[in-house]
Amino acid sequence: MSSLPRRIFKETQKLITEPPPGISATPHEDNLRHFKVIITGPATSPYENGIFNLELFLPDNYPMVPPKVRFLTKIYHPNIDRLGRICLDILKDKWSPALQIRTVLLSIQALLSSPNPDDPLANDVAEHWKKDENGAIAKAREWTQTHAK
Amino acid sequence: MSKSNKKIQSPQSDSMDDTDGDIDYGSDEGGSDEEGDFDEDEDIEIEIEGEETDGIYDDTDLNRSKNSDFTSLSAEDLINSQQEQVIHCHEVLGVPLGIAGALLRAYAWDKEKLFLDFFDNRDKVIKKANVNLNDYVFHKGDAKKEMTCPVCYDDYNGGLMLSLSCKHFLCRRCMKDYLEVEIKDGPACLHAKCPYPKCNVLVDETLVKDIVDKKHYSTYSKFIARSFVDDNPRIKWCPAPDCGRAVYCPEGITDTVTCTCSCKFCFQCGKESHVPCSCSELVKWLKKEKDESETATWLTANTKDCPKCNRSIEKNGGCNHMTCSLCKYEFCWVCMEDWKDHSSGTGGYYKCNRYKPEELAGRTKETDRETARRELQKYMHYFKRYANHDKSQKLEKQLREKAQDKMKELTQINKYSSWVDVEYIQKAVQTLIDCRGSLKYTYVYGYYLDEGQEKNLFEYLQEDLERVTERLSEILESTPVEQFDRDEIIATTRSAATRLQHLLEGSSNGLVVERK
Repeated sequence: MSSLPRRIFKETQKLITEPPPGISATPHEDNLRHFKVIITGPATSPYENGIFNLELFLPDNYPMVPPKVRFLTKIYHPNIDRLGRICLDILKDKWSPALQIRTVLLSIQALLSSPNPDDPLANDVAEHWKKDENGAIAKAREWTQTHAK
Repeated sequence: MSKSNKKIQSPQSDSMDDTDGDIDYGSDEGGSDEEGDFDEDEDIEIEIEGEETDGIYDDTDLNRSKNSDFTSLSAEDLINSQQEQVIHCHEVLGVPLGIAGALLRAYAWDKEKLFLDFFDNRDKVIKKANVNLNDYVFHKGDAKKEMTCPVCYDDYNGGLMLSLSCKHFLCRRCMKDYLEVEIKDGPACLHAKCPYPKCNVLVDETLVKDIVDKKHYSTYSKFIARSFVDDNPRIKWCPAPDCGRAVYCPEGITDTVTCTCSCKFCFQCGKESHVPCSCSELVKWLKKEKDESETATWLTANTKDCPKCNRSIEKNGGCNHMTCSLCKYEFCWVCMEDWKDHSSGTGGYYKCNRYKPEELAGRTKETDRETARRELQKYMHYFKRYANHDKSQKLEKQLREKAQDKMKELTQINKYSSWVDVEYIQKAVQTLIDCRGSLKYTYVYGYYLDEGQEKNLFEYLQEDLERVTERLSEILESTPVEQFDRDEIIATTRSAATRLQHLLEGSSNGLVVERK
């Protein structure tokens, strides 16, 4: 494997020394492009107090292509499917090489605070969200308590 | 049928008389008396519209449909033509080349509309294409300062950093990497923007050329050439495999066009030419064809039993005159009747192209099942004939090769004859192929045509064309080369081409015209 680009090294260093609030990202020892990520559910959201595990991988072309991120913890959210895949524009066509791991993780945290059922990935969840928002929020809270410990 | 006040414009022409002589096709009189569907006692006039069809051998003559002002463009022509357009736009609008290209792409290569809009509301056009007319070069950073590239996080002297008009600086290597990744990603690279999040400034062609390597730039150019065709409603790719040419049609609304590779296709739907039936009829038909049971379709389409000894026969040549290899019975592949009934010599009449519902059911009350069966029978009637021509058409390549062989053979037999003297064979084969191709779709057209006067006349013309086409096919396939009668072949070819042209003209202009 090619040596780690300076950019990745710098980003990693900054993530460890100055982690954004409620987010931690640490690279695996055997693969420095593979990160173990923990996001704490934002306050005043149904995911409050939940501890969500994610994995993040930086492909060879990074930062020309976006990092690959997915939830490992089960979560009831209209933009996150059962496999943990995330529907987020900057992870796809709105990616820009001037974005970073930090900005991506902050965007995911923001997505937890404001789910967007109009652009759904998990159709059944989005449907639930639109028909009975209170019911859906209750279910998300319930899932957080059961799975995101 | 009641007395009608209609005039039928028969595309039948007196030029058909040219074919007289040795060949007698049975009836050239506009429907014989046995022909129940077509009663001359009615107030119908057959208008002889014939004009001497000169240049019937002209290939373009058969495609003489509306506004067929088309040109075939090779890959090289495409690039040149595209560049011409860009240069023209550059000269007229006074904008840099790279921007001219971007503007044209934003307007789907509709130069006239771009010019109008540009002189009408310049700012709107510029905004639509995301370009900046006053600032379209790379900027360098301040050489006196150190700058950190936001992508690779390396520090550089400001003089080595680049930006677009938006002043979002990047190091040269990252800009190059970014654009090359975009190019590898596909044609969307033509809309590559500044790599900063949410910045919409377009990286135009000149800048791309300036920074990426040759290999990537050539891919980029290919995408531009492709966009020239893909985004342009006036140009369509030729659907023939490995052709790679495109056809330009200025009106953008003609039907059949012919590429230099001799592939005829429909400019509307991009499929093989399907006159006289319309694009929507073809789509319906193909869907129906798919829906019918595969096996039944295959069996009906590919095999038939000999009417005499019941042996299954798969047809492997174009002619409909079949001779059973087992019992030597001669019959017609289309209607399965004795071949004797088809020749003019026995006074028979060629009418197996027609579907006659009254023969199938004369009863008054029908159950649903009977209706369904009748519907299926009707469909199978048309489908069989369609499939027949489709199959013959697939042997087209073989047919062309055979014709080439025959032409060579003839020039060898008669050392005084040159290639020009035998070229008539090639023309005959081309006409045969054209007739078959159109006949195939006349059955789709016929299937969707309502019963009535127009259908009767259409079927009459279709039958006429079937007969001449069959005759031509027979002469070309069964006659030994040394017995080729040049005049006969030329006459038959001409007669077939005229009939084809009339059938197509008739079906596109409407066969029955209200009398004014």
